[in-house]
Amino acid sequence: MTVLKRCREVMRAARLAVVGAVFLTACSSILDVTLPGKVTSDDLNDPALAAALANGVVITFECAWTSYVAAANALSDEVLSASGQANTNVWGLRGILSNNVNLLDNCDANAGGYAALVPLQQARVLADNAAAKLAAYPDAVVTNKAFLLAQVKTYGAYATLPLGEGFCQQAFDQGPLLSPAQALAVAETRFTDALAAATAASNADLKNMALAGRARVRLDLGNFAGARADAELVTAGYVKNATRGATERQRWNLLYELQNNDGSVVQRHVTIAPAFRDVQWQGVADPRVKVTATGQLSADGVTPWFKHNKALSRSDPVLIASSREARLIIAEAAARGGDLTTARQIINDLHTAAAIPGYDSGNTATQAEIITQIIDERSRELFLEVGARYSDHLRFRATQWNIPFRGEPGSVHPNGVDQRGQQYGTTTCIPLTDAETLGR
Amino acid sequence: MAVLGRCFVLGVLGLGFALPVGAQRSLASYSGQTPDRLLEKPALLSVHDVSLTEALSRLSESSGVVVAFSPTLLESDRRKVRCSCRDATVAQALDRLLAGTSFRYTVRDGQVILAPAPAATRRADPGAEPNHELTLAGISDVMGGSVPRLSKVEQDLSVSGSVVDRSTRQALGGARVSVAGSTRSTQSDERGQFRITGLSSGEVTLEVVRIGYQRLVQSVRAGDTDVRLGLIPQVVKLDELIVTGTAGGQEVRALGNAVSRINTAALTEIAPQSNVQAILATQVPGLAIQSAGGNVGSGGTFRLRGASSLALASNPLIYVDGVRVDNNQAANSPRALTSGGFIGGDARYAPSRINDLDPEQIQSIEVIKGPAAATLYGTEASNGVIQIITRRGKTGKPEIQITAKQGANWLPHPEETFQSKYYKSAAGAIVEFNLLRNDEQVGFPVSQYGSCPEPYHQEGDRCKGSPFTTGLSSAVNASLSGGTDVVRYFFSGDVEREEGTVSYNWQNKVSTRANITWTPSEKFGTDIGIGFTRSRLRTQAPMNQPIIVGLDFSCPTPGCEPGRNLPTGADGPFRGYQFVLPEALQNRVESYDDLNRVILNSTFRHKPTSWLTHRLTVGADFGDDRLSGLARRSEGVFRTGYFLPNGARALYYRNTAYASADYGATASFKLGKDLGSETSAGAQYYRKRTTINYSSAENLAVSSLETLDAGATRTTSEDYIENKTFGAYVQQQLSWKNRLFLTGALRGDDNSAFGTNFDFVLYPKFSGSWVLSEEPFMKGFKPISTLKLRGAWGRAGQQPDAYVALQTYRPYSGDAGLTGLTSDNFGNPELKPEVGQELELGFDAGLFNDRIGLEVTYYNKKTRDAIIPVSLPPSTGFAGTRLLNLGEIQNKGAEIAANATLYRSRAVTVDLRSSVSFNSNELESLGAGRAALTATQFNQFHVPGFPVASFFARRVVSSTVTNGVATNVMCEGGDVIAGTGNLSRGGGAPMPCINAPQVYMGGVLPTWQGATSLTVAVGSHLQLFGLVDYMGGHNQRQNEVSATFATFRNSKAILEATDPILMGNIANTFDSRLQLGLMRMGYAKFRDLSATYTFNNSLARKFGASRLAVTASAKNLWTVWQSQTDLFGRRMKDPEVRINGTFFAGDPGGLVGNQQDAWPTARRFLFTVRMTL
Repeated sequence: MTVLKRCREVMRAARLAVVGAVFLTACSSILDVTLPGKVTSDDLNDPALAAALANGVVITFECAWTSYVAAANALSDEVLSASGQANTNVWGLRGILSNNVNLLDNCDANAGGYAALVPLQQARVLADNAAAKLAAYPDAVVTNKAFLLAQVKTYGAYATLPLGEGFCQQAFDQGPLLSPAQALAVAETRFTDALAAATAASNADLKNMALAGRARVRLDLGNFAGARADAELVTAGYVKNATRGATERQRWNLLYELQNNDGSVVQRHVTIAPAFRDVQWQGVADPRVKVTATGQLSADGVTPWFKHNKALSRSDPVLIASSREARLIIAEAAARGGDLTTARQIINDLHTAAAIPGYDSGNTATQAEIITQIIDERSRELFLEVGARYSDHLRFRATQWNIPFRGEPGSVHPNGVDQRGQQYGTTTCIPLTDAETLGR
Repeated sequence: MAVLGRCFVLGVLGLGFALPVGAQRSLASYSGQTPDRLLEKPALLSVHDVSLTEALSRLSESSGVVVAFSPTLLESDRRKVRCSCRDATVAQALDRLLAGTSFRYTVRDGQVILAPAPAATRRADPGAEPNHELTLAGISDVMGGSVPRLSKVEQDLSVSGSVVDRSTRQALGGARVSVAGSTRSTQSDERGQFRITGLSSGEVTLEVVRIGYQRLVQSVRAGDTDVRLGLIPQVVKLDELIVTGTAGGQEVRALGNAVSRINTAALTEIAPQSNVQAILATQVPGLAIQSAGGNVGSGGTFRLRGASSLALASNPLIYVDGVRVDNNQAANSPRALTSGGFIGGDARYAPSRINDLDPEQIQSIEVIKGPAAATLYGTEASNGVIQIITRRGKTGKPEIQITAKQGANWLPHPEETFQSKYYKSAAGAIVEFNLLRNDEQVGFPVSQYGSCPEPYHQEGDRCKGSPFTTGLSSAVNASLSGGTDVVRYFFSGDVEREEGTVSYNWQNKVSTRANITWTPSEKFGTDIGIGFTRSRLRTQAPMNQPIIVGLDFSCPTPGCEPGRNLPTGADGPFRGYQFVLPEALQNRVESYDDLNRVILNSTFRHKPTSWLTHRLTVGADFGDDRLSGLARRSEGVFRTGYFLPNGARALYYRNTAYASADYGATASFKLGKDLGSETSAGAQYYRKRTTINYSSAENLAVSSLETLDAGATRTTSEDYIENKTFGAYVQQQLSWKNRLFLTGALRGDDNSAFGTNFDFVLYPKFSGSWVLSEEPFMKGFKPISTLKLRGAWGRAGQQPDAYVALQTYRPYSGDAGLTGLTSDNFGNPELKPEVGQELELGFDAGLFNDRIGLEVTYYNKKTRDAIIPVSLPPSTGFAGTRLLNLGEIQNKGAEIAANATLYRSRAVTVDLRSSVSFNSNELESLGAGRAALTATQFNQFHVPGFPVASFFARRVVSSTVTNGVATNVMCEGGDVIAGTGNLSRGGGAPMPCINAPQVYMGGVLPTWQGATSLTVAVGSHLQLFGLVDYMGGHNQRQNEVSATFATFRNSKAILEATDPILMGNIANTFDSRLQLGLMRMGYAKFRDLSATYTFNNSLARKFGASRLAVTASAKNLWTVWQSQTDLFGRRMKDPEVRINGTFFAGDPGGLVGNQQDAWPTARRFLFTVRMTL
């Protein structure tokens, strides 16, 4: 009887415990947590976030663009790798495999390597999301809705440009793998959409930006007439920069931080290549390419450090688009189309602006020679800017104007070994990360 | 001699109370202890010319029959005896050994007890030796042995003395000492002291019982005041209580799983350790702790039974007196990143929070290893649980213990640890350059700084010396404990200073603890405790490890050779150091970790009825950790090559608040004569909250300014993390005759980090244990004195990180105050905890009369729904990884722990403890359609069929080297594993490296580890202790080795440029370079050597103490063995060092196998004085 009585007491206690547990579980608020520093996806339905969404696209793109340009510089023949840091050195040695960790970095990791792919995709998707949310918000509650729409579309289009231009293949929204040309075609469509939005918003700045971007995409795609048409509509003197700042890491100018940091020896991952250290035109120093021999060593401790002048602080802006680039697009498109006069004129105009002698042999130059000259002019005019040189490496690859990458025959290191005896890899275009391609 | 004589005479006085020999044999027969079976056992004894004491000890060993006797009494017999008794019975051997003495034997309670025969009997004994009689008479004469004098002691007498561990000589409190055949008994106090009064004169037989020790029966004489009762530890402590999560704990006999229990108080007495991790590192089979470095303040990585997760932390839960506390293994911030590098603490060597606890305040530590045992702990317990039990007051008068330590830490032969570099002279000769030797012999001009910076000294116009110093270590601990049956108390305070091997690495720490136990009645009791730790650690890494970086990166080629007028040249102002001059930085860059931590615990126990116990534990752990870094703005000579010439300041605050409430009830009752039942139920609620504030400033205006405000550019950030768990369990245990136990349990948990589409998780558990040796049919099986079979199966979880289930966006700053939102976390609403499921089988055995203890465990642990950080396709627009419950990981292994008394005599006891554990880790699945994942940036991949985070890289197998350049470089071929891109098991025919796959190069996890210690107790006062620990089967990339080949090119082999593998790797850049740094990390180290001398009581009393002991100990004396010492001639600095993986994003589990800037472990000497007042 005693046992039975105790069993009953135990059962009663167990029942109480279970009821208590159920009560506590039902009181779900005991597991509620606060999230003071984050915004959930549900929160984005609030129209009050319209400006924040649009700003997010701009800010993310500005970081992404800076990253891409820095990465493009590292791959181009404008610099030599001088990094003592293994991950960064791999970029300089053109040894990027599809499992390279930097291909998965976001902007917060920028100080340690070349993040390009992820931030560009982030900006692109943020732009799409923002455009969709903005479209859904009631007009009456969103100030400057047309401008915001144009802004997110233009920046979103510009984010798509390098994804086609610099990568071996690409994917959007986990869709099919696209060739560079296919990806650039997507970019062109987005620029067209952006142009319409900018026009609807009557915003000249965004319109110029969209035109300059579409001109560049069309040049990449070989649509020279279309490229010229767009470029000719870019207002003279137009300059569009990505703002940079010295505070938050994602706002640092990486052309300075990773490639020109005179305040830190460990951040000098590149030095300027010999061909760009003393650039002259007919014996006159070309002011468009300013390089300083510092007498110091780079981050690897062995390579002399030659410093450029394109970024002298973390807060120096980074060029996105300009009428200078547009003029060179016109020149190239004209030359390609047989209009050598226009091409020559543009070259000479640029020389005049730089206060160096004119393009003397221009009058007798062949189409091929003029295109060669335009490539040279682009390397001077857009030295270390907008990824132009890297773009030219890729655009003219396997053509008569082929620009060899470092380590290839005809380059500064024709035997495949750099100034430190380190072996070059085979990277040309940037491979798409395994995270995108595997497991499909 | 006089004392011995008195003892003997007093013993003789008891003869009148003893029975004739024949009667004794008869008594034994009636005792029900089957004496004949004991006495008829084979003696297996062979002794020649040894003392009687030793002969009897050996008989006890060889026969397995406990022969209890008073060494004090036997000491008077100094004859040498011999007995070739291999074929004799125990009785025959005893008869031979005792022939001619006054001693006789009897059997009681399963033991043979020796005692002097009654005088009358002795006189009547025809076998008595006349000369022995004469001796006795002689002694009696010396004592003035007349009958009237002897009668004086037939008064009310007492016996007093101490109870000690016979192996460790540690005082044992809580031992029940009783007088056989009477009701008189007492319990030893915390100092092991006891006293029994009211005895009549003559011999008494004391019986001593204490949990965890073999029962001792020893004859003494009434009136003895310095009796030393040496208890022999049980090798299998079946009756010890273990904290298991239920209300009352459980006896070991009822547990179906292995639980390691460390008697911290005893261990720290014979081998003082600097922190809790050092204690755990060698004591628990299956627990791998990989040190983060040899500097003061560094923590280490915990891992119990392999790696169970790919994404989540590997640290076990830590409880202090039942309260869950911060268990971060590396709680410091990532280093504050500034333009020129890093300032602040280096997270690679950050402290582990468990080391905030003071070992002197810990009584014991219990380690619950896997899901099978940790089910009741629920959703965060699949990595195991560490229960820390702090010391409690014992009933008795106030007792003060004072412990003082003084010692030193140093790096032996740093010029060999930091190896020479090489450069090529202008003539092409390869020249050795040892920077530290150069500093000793050549130094630098005094004029460089105006005076010689410490620790350099001036010789003429030059400063010479070494940047390394000998750091001092000192600590004082005082505790006060005591109390009554109602209230007991323990107060402890500890002040310590530990200095590292450089002047700017030290830690000052104050720890206090107050524990009050209030037991107003048998039904109610309360434990309340508060522990406080205040620490200031000046970290060794104020900025990128000045010395280590300077040395590891020193003397690059080209650039080091003299005559080139380069600052980094051996003859330049940097003397060959790279980037930094340590002596210039040591006082210009500072980093402190300031910690204030309070742990509160309160437990309320109530036993309303005889069968019901319930308790509530409520507690909290508040931590306030402030990390500060300052790099002063530098001018002049200090500016050159300096990472941060313009100065920087960084502050990082980590504020943690852990709160826990744990209620449990256990009902125990008999269901029948032999069947018992124990039903437990309980519920827990845990909340963790962490707030992080980070601020930094750069470009300080002038060198005298040190605050954030002084910086021209400033940044700041704040983070807040909160996590809550609610869980409940019910457990039913049935027992049969207290030797067969079956247990079933079920726990349910919900956690705030689970996905919104996932409700809660259930964890079941079943276990059984069978104390086989207590079964009647095992009674006569002599070799096995104790045997418990056990088995357990259970599940426990590991929760995902807070917030990771949610899709989130975060603020982003743009130009001119522009703020926007950018994508942050992709989220996974389906996310649930990963579940560890484990089967554990094993046995605990005491062999050969408990001379050898054996604990053998096999486990098979499988993690299901393993959370896998799958890199997000960038086209999703989100960065980083998404956590998915996809994987399966298996850890199989065995743990073997043995302890044995190799030799035991009155004078010397030699105990051996040894453990070894094996673990086989394999990633079984990454989910459908996924064949590989990149684990880290160091060529580590998660590939099914291989250990987690294995190394894969192109392996160069041959090349042709001509004039230092490799051509025709061939790599190992092999079939590419489908879906992995380019990963292979290898084993294929060599092929050009450019086309070769990345082949398996080894795993990163240790596959075996263990420790062996020897304790030698000499006499009653001296103890020697030595311990060797070992670990192996793992690999690690030694980047500083790799860099000497691939980056700085300053090793001898790279300058010789003849090795085809080395040069082949150089030619094939990229991932084949892993081969240049990947090394096998197995090692065995002579970790501890110590000697402890416990002064006798009279000497201790001269110092005003009741107990006085001194210990001299040394640590890290010798690396006995390394599985690989060098790679192409370059040695690694220290095989045991592994940096904390938390430095690397996405590696909370510590799977990163890359080592750079390692600090080797320091050698340590410590002198300790312990005094009890």
